[in-house]
Amino acid sequence: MAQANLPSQMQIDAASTSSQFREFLSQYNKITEQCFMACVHDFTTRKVVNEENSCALHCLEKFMKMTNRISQRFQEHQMTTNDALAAATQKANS
Amino acid sequence: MAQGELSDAAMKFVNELEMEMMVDMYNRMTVACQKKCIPAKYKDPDLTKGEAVCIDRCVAKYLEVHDRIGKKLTALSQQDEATMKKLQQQAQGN
Repeated sequence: MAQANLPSQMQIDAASTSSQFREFLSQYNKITEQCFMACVHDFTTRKVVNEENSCALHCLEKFMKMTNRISQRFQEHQMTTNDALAAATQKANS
Repeated sequence: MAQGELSDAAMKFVNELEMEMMVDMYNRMTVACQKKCIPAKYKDPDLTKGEAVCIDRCVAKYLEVHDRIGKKLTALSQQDEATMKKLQQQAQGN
């Protein structure tokens, strides 16, 4: 991917945005697989039945809420760990 | 994301990413439909009629679920983006 003409900051932003986007698409595929396995059981027809449809959409929303909550708790945990580490370091240096 | 604004390099990246994600989805679909349709009893090397029909329906359903989840995900992302913009505007207004 020829990025030599872009200033370095833009290159870094493009790289992180593109890897974010790739991660997003990966998650999309993962969600599809998981929700399909969990929700679709009726193979007497090609059509997606109403229950399967609503199950899949609920599955998606639940997955999103779950990942949000996980990331929130993880961030909180990181902050607490960093604060504790900073306090301990300060104490050691004083 | 207005396609007219993307550079050649960006377009190339998007196309490659799309291919990669399609391959990933295809592999997951294969695994899912094998689990759903092919019992792990390998007495016979041939697909029975039932298994063949199940596979057809499974593929149709998987692709449809993939589409519906994609649409919903796009809607949720746009909703998120709108909320973020609102919050940013409010923050700047204060």
